[in-house]
Amino acid sequence: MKKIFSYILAFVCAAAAVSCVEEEIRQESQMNLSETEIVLGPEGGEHKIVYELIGVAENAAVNISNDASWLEVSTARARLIEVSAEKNDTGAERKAEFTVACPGVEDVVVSVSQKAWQDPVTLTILGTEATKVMFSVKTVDDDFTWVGQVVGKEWFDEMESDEAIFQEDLSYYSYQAADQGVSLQDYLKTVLNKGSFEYLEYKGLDPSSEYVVYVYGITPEGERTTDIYSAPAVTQPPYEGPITFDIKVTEENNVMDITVTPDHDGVYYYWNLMDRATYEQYAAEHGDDPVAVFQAYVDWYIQDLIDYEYLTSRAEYFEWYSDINQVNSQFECMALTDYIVFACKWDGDCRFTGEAAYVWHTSGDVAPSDNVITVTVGDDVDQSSFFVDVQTTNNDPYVMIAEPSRFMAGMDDEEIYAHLMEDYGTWGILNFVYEGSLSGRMTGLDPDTEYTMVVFGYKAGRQTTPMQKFTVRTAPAGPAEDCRFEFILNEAGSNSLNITVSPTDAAHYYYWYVYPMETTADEVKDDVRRLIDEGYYGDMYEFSYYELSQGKSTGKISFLAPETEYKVAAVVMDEETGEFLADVIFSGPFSTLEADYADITVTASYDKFYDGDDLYDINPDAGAQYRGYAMVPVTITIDGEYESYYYTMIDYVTGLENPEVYPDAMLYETLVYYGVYYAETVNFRAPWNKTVLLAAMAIDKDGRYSRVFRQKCQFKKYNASDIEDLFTRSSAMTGGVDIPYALPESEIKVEKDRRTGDSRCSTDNLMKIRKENRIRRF
Amino acid sequence: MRQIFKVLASLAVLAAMCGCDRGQEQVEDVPVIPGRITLTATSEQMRSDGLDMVEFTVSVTDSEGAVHDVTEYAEIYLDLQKTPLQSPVFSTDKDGDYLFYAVYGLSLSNELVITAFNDMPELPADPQEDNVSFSHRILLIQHTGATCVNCPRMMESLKKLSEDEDYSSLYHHVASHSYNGGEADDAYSEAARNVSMAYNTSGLYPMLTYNLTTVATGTDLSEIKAQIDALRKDRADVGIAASAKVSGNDVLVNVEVKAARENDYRVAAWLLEDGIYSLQAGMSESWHNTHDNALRYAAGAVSQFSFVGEKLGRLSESEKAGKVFSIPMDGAWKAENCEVLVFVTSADENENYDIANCVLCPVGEAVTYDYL
Repeated sequence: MKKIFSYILAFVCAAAAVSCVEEEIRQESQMNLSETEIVLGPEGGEHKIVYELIGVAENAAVNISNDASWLEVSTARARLIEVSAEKNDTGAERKAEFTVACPGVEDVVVSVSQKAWQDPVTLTILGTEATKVMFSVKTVDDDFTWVGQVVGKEWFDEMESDEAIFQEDLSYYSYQAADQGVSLQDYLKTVLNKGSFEYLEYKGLDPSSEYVVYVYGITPEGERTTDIYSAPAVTQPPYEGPITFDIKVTEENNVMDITVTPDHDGVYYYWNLMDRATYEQYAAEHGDDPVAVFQAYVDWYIQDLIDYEYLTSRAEYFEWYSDINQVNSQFECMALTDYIVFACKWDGDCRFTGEAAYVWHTSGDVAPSDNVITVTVGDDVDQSSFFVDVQTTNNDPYVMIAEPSRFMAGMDDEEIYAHLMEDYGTWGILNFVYEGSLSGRMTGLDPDTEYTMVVFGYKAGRQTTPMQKFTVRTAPAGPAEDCRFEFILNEAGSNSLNITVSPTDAAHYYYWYVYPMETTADEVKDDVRRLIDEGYYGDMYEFSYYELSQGKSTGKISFLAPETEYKVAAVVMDEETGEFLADVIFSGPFSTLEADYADITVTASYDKFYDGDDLYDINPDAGAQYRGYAMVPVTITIDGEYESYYYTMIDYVTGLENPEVYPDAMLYETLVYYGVYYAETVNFRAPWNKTVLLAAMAIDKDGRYSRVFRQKCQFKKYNASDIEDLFTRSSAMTGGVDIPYALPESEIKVEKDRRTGDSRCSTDNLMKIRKENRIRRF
Repeated sequence: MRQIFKVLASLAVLAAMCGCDRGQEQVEDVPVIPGRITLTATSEQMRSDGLDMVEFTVSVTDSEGAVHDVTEYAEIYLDLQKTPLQSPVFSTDKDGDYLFYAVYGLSLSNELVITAFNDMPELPADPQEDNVSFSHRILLIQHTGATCVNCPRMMESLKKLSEDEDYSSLYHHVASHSYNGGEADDAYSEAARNVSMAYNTSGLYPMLTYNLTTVATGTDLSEIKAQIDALRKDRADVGIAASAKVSGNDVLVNVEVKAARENDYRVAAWLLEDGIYSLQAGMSESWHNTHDNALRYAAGAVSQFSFVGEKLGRLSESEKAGKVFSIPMDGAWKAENCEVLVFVTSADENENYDIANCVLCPVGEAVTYDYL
């Protein structure tokens, strides 16, 4: 029995031993891989295989046998076999195997394949013509979204990288998005292309020019998904043979719609039109050859522009008026008129070089107008004007013009119409065309003259209503010295007078203004002469246009002292020579109202000033305007609600700081005309060692002026502050820094907007520069 | 005898079971759960002081979406180390980035980078742990540029706004100098350019935008105040504590966020610089030439056009989460003039993120939660 148990025990132990040995053998022989067949992407990349070794020695390691030169296999990282390859640009799929070995286990073979790389988008230039490039875009994925551009080669070559081009594009897209008021992403959605296009073309290019077409993948969110694929394209030279044109003319409501289509784009050509009368005028001189007629017409036109200095050369005209592609244009034509529209190839000297194409077009008639025009001529006819009131029943255009009756003597209506059209022409008559009801004075007439005012409906060179005629005789003119004036005070303010001046003889031109009561006639004349010489630089035409009156005149004179008596002076003058034709006539006294100053306290101050020479030494550009002067940063402080403010420096004269000697009213005009009104701090340029008056004022919303702040100042060079004090943060002031440079005139335009709204800056200029070197998206 | 053989067989089976005990345990203890393997850590940033540690978790997300913690069965490797971590924790006394991955069976996890800082800014202690009533600030982004002649008008408006006690504590301000591609503008930055494109400001300057929305106004102060009034909140959804310091060539920003309302949150840190001198077109006062709060760098940007911040995850009320940003300093920037604007964004019902709150932390300083 003991023996039996010994057997049993031995058997059990043996069984147990056999069982354990078999398990150990099975574990030692095991190497498992997560994958034995892997596929790498065509674009290249890495793939990781996880392996496990069961039952092997602790220090056992896997070894790789790999003969494929394009395949990298690494076991540097624990439990991982990392397989990698570059982009497969061999054009064909490639395969390889590598062996994973480890002592004590069976080798495992791993197979790897990688398909050939195929560009996600393929751009192919199909061809070019003189002004366009044709190309195709093929995408591997139908859902692939992309954008493309056609740009000048020069611009493209300047870009350093794909990313630089992309960022430029993004800036352009952002600008477009902002311009359209949509988000960048929303804008991109509208410009993205999707999938393949077998044929695309971009028009409007210049002949014989180098371009680059490029495309790249982009998501609607604005993320670039591919490299930039580009291809150069050179447009063809202009077609050198003869070209023909298809000219189409349609008309609606006396507006011609003209389309000129050359059979070859890129060829420089000229087109225009003229009426039959003009054509025949030139044909009579230059023969029946239309090209010769067109050439003569263009030559005349160019010479006319050169004579008037609108042009300097024929080449300029060529540059401005050449076309190379189809054009479409509109022209407002005269009714029932023959027009010839022509086009012809030409050269850089504006010489036609081929056969001209042309079509004749007869414009349509204009229907009679049912506008009822009711005209009333007033009785108050003076030497140079009369009142007229016009009521119309619709807005159809009409002509109203007055001429001395002798010009129309013996003419019937048709002859008057013909006379006017001859005198003024279809262009000149437009100066006398009105629409709708109106009333006012017909001015600028000669005295003692009978005028005939004609009124008739008019459109496109056609009379559309019956003509109405009115006769008015202007009053005779008396001698200038007999002209008297009536002065009426319409309204007085504390600083202003609103005056109406009525001459007894409206034939004469006269000057009028408000003067202090003590002003003499000679002083008035001196003032007028000074105004002509200094205000208008002796230009009598300008002076007469802006300063002289004829007939009744009303105006408001401001900047007057409160509670002060003034008188109005008027004097008849020769509008051409400036000669005084009569004595100065004064009104009685008109008094301004008592002072009603704005409840505003204004202070202008500075705490330091600087030597402009020091600025110049640091920065010649910024400091140039201050050389030899003190630069004084002045700040205005305003206590109270104001609408506007003004401050400046004035040459000092004795007593100027004293309102008793120089009332505020004497400074208001100077301040308003010459003062700084746009910035609460500016840098003044002040002379050294000379006394000046720093003056400031403000105006409230009711137009009331504040008292004038006055402070005598003098700037001594030795008291100038260190120029470095200009800068608030000295730590930022290293090296060649720029200097604040604000002078009043340098900021006027910008700051003036402050009172009118919310001005913004745009990047238009930059974008314009950018766009000059490139073409729009397609 | 038959009985003897029965006993024998039983013993043999027993012996066999005893002999294969180890192998059988393996089969039972390593459950093979197919799915996506994810390696996560308690934090992706830590101090390199030898004391701070992160703890890893390896999980499997099965096809049903159920998540199984398999950390104890997985091997976690530090990159290029041949042996796995002995335990799922990591600490170090050397700063740097540490890459980890995990293997579970024959499956590989994501790679996880743990950044160890030897100089991590200390966050101030939370003075009111139980409090979740935070003051709220709006972010105003001033789109501007030194060659923009009208931009001083926005500077004037913002100056007046900052001097208005009723509004000065309701917002933080960033000057994004992007006009004309930064032409003659020392305050320009690539970050500002990207912000301008994201906000679509290429056409009009100056412009003021609010938080991350496209709501924009010009310089009219009443309009600006109206927008602030529309966006202001009595209480913020999150509080932010932050600390920033220079470390080598970087600015390290340590941020902690405490939620007052459960939501998904993200966080970002923008480096701003004060005192940049650049001659301002349209300037009328010398201070117009000195530019403050100029955006230099936007850490936490998701993409070129998305600035919603890095994920903090879903936080329940009172729950905190942290993030450390390392902002590379450009040699031209003056660290002593810099500050960091930290903002936290939260998701709306459409998963769109906008700023829930923001704080400003000068470099070299720390700010704690701004409790009401």
